Amino acid sequence: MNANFEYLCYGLMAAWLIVALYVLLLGLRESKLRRELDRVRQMVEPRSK
Amino acid sequence: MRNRIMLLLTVAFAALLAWNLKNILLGLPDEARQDAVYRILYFHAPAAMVGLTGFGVGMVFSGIYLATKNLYWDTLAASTTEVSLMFAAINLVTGSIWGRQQWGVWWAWDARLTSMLVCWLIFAGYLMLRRAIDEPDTRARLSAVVSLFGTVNAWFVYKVIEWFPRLQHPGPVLSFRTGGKIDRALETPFYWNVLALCLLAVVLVMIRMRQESLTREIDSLRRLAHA
Amino acid sequence: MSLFLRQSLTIAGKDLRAEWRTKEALNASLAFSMVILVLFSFALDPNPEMMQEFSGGLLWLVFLFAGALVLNRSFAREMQNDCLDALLASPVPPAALFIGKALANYALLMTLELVCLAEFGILFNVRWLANVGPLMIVMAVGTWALTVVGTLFSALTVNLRLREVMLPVLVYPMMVPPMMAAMILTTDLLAGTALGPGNMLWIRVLVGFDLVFTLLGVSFVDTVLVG
Repeated sequence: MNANFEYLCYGLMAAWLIVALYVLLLGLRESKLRRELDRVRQMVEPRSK
Repeated sequence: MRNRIMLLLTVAFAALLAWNLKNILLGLPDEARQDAVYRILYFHAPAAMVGLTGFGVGMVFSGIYLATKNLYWDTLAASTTEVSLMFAAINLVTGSIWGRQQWGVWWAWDARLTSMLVCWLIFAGYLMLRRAIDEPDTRARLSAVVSLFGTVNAWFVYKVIEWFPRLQHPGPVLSFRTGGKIDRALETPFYWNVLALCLLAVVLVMIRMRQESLTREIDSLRRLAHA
Repeated sequence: MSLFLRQSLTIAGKDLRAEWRTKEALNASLAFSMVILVLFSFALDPNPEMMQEFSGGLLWLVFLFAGALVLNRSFAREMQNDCLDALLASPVPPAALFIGKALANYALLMTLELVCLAEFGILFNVRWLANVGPLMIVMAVGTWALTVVGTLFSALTVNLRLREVMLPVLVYPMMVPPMMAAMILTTDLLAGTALGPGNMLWIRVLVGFDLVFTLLGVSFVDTVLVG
């Protein structure tokens, strides 16, 4: 095991951390949208009945 | 159907990535001058390829939007650009870490990384512009123009920065640029990783597109509610 | 063609006349550029060797920052009383409107730059008169690059809430290739190097950028303003 293996690890960690963060961001946005969709649906529903 | 394709692609990506990681981390010998750290480049360079291609593809979608005025193409362009921006960020961060190890500084103003940073700023501006406009048609029209200008400009940046004095970048190594100086055993995992990242990009764009259709549904329901 | 030219000149004349009566953009940008120049003297030690290396870069930074104020006003001025709608409804085609506005901005920016250059020469003891001919050529082509991109984005951002912020965010990254060329050339010329085969490349970059983006601007201003 040599010294610059450390930097390889940092590099890979950083790369996949960015992907993870982006996916997390997407997930948060999606759940917000779904909640919003439910809310709006409830707003519309009583009228259509 | 769409979710099933998405799942399938995700599984394919994960499997391919695992196989690539095994090949790259365990199968390849250490490089003579760089030891282990050169393996970052198997992620660094494909991320740049996917990112820059994504900006170009985003421009094509923007062009199609301007020709057809169909908002579907606009959301596709926006999704592609956003995902490409993430790949560009991966390229920047891994490049910076590699530079820290090889050159001793986090940022050496090397030509390729600098041009990537400029591209990143251009397309970050594109996303900021999209947030600043509420009306869907105006947003689509104006951001399509920015995407076109940005991509043409990115090409200029990419070309011109090479001529700037004092900016260095390791020369091309892949055989399609050099005519085959690199060992095939070193090159093959690289292309597999390009494919892996492409799969990831497609999955992320699809997720992003699903969100856009949710947004549209919310908008139309809201209009119904207020009608 | 001559009609197009006449319409462009009418628009340019109108803009310059309006600017001449209020001097709002010019006064603000001149005052701003003066402040930046003074601040530069604290940011770095203005000794002759230092200035020789930095002069071109500093000068173009001032042009860029002060220029954004002029460009911002270009279309924002037409927002009052719905002047922009009236202009678009008039028989002047958007392309002529764009070229006319660009010409007016060009005249304002060149005036601003000449004043800055004189100030800069006095405050930092830079002898720019020695190479004044080639310097004017570089400024002429460099400023046109800033003008076309800036004018188009001024039109693009005119209806945004965040207009003042979005214009620099979009324009500055796009200005990287021409600014790089203009900075190198200006530094060379101020240091006494003549234009020659050594730096002809950068003139070509500037002219190429000017041509490409003028063409893009003329063809897309329709999309930006009308849709």
